[in-house]
Amino acid sequence: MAPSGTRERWLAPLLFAACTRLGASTEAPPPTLGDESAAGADMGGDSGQDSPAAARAGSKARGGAGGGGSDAARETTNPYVEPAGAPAELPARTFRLSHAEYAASVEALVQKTIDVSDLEPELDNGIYRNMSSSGLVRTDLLEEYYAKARAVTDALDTEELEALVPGHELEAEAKSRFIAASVERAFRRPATDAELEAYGSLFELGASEGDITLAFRSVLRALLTSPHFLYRTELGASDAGDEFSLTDHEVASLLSYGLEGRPPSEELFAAADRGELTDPKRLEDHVRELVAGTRAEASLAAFAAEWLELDAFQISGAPGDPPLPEKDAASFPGFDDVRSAMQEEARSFVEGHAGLDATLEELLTTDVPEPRGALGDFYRSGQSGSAGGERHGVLSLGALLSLGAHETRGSPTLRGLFVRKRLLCQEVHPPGRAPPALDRTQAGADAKTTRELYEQHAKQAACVGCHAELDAIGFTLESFDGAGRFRTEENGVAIDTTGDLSGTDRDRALADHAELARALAESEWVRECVATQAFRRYFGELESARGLPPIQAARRALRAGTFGEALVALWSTPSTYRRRREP
Amino acid sequence: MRPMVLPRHGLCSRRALLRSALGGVFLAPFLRQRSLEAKDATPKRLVLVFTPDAHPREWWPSTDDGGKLGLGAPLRDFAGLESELLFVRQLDHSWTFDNHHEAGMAQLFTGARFFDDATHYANGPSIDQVLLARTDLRGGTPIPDVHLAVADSGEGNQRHVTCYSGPGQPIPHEASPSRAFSKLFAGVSFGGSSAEGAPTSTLERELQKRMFELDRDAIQSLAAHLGQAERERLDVHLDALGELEQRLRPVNDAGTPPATGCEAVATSGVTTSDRQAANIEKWGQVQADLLVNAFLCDRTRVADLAFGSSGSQHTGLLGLKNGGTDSWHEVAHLSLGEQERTQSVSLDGEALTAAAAYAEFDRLWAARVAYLAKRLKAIPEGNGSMLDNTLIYWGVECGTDHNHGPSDMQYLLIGGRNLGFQSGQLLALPSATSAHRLHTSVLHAFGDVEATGFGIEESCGPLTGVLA
Repeated sequence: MAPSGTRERWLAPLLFAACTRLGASTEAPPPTLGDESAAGADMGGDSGQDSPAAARAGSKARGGAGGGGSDAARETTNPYVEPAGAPAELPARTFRLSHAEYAASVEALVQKTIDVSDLEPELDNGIYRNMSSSGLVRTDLLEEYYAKARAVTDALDTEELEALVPGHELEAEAKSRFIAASVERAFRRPATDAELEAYGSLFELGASEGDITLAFRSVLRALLTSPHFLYRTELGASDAGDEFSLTDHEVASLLSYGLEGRPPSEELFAAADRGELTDPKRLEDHVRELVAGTRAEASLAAFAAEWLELDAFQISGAPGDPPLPEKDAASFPGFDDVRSAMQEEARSFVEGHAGLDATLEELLTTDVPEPRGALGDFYRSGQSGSAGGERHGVLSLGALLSLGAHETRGSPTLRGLFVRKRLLCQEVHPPGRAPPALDRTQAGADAKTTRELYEQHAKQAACVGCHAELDAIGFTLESFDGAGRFRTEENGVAIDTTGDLSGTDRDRALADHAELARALAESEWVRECVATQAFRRYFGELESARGLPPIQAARRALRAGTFGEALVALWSTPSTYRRRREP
Repeated sequence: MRPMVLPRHGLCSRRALLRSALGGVFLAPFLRQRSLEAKDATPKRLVLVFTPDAHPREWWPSTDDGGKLGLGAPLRDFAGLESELLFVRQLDHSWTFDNHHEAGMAQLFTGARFFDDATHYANGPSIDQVLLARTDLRGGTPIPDVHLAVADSGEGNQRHVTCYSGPGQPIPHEASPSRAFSKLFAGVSFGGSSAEGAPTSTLERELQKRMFELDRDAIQSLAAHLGQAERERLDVHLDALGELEQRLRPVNDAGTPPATGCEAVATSGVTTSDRQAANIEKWGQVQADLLVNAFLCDRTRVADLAFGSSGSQHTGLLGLKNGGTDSWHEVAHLSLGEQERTQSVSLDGEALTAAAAYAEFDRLWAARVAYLAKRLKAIPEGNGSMLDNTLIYWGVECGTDHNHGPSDMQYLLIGGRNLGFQSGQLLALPSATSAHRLHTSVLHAFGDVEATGFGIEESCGPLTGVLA
């Protein structure tokens, strides 16, 4: 992880005073409004915002929102500014294997699958689970690694053990060949002379009482607990200077674990042997080959689920707890019956429209097919839901809409917050003092619609300053209730889906969520954000500066290209193999 | 508001900690290879406790003319333990960010700022880890520290973590009592079970020793090419190697016999739901029993027991009904405003003011802490009780009444009479004072008498009136 001082330089421009509008052009991304990491908990349940009514009035003054209709001619408040280029070098590091990568690596070495579900749970640091800085090996996990190593090597029968030995004979003469091959598979690089000697010595100790199989098992067991096995390294050659290139084999591991979740294939290893992975002219070819594979497709789907927070949508909860998001059965009868279908709808849509051949515009704007069966019936089971109901893009998926909601109602705040955080990479700061609770005021009690409730609430002085930036986005999704059901009215009042997008390069008044989707699809800030999210997830690293080559390359690729092209661009810059040593 | 992030320095470095403690450059694992026979005849123990959302104003005790404490509703399960309690009023955290939840968690027991602007982890070790590195608090026990959770899944993000081994190095909680038992009592013979994992032959032992050597050499070779932050992460691995080597040290076939009074704890019957009071009571009782027995068996002397997490919702717990949201965090918000705190909510069908309901919520957690204190109090040790040699150091992440600010923080020191704590009082400070000074006093009590400060306030000094 980069020193905090370094990171501060990048993040500082993001951290605007809570909920203030960005002024004219700066080099910074648009302001994010706050980090509601407790999913609304510290906004007083949703409270605290600039008056949406005032926001709409302001929008009208600037171009006529409120009545619907986009206003692309309106002057933007935060035009996109191309960043100055940042150095390609990323910090030198070690990167502990994730549990899934560990399992794949064990299998690659001993040709046996292992169960890793009982390993110490991986830390969720609130960014992505595979951030390299989270990969600590504490005593309990180390003990589990040792136990797994012992169990899996003890379980190898003679035939299985022979299969791992070049020549397939369990004899002392095979020692050197076996160790060289095993170290290469385990450490994802050729063995050093010192390693051949050290593991050779261990082999001989294992064989010292006449059991030759113990010699082979002991070497494998030792390799499975070695830090060279448990960590990917990004250290370069031992004589590298402060700024240096990784070894080709280190690049092979970075690419293969990043894109395929497993150690390098024989083909990639051979390319590393030939020195092609630190050759800028050849790197992209190899990246393209990896990205074309089915494993890369799976890794992209996994990234999309994490990025879009779809993994928070559960079919079953933790022991004793209901699944998330929880819904009040009286408010949304039948929700639990369609959880699986709703999750499947989201999975299918995202895999199809955030896949290698899809574009960001598709993901954000493609019409969601009306589902058949129980889920379709559910979506039309709201107060008024017999007509219309068109859904445009990922934001209108039932799974995301029900996550952007509370148990009894939808939440324009949470929905707006999602757009700010996940699509614009903007920070939104919760208010320092807790605002009044949303439902506890007379104004709240009098509100007939969710929109009225939020607008009334936002009139309170304590709420001024935040919610307009969030709710004005979320209001465009008001045609969907807290469980994703379509509605044209709420408690007899016609639904108003007008809203406003601010703090971006595509600021405009919005008639509905379709206009929101189109505006986001046009935004360069959104493309930079998606590229940034991909960098964090795939490199397991926070960006230390704006303008990092892989992020900017992926952003440009997202303009007209597919997610697959963006992945190729992300991985094909010198940042894949250039590193710097930190003090 | 911008976070204020300082560069890592001095106290935040594990290596620096070790150097200052030992006066020379030693590797951390060497510390762990102390003889098990080096046990202190009068052990000291530390338990850090966290409960969520801060306490209501009713948590503060009243005092009579003689200074005798009168406990309010949230602490009524501490009745009889008044003389063991040390309250300190007007303590502030030294910095804040946003609504203080994450800033409060990061500095609660570390006194540090954020490690970075993304994870909001603490940029330094927590007080338990400082003491483990700088004193002989561990006393030769086989397990340096244990970190348990109740009413929480043990997630690793900044709102769930209370202890850190170093900058950006969160120590996760173990939420499962059965897994906690396995960790705490591995190798201990209860009813004839034997140690697992230890090598059984001379050759096996020699092979294992070689493997440890290979792994240790590998870490050192990797670390030689890395910057400080990365080296510190590998230090954790290096420490773990030393610990594991101790754990797997061969014992007799019957395992390590338990000490007198050391009994296995039944860990069954716990449902890990954070919404039913009965579940939480059982879960809290079992985790506390595990700690007490770990102390009785002298398996460890340092623990962290966390209930819930910062800003946790516990929806519907105690039968809460509050206009549809039913989240306790929302009720906590109500407790601050004079008007809001009189609003009505329902607990199991009974209408209460938000303030009264919040006191009941706070009591639920307090009762679990009281249970731990009473169990320790009931165990004779030396001339007193185990509680006399144990400090339960209880903190929350926000100020009084869930004040989203760094002021009037609520730390409570329970027990520790033999460590010098002036229990049985409300220490009312004349003006707002940094909580770092209280932490410094705690360092002194545990033998780190050269500590001049804590966390980012390296020279703040101790707090007068805390220690005898």
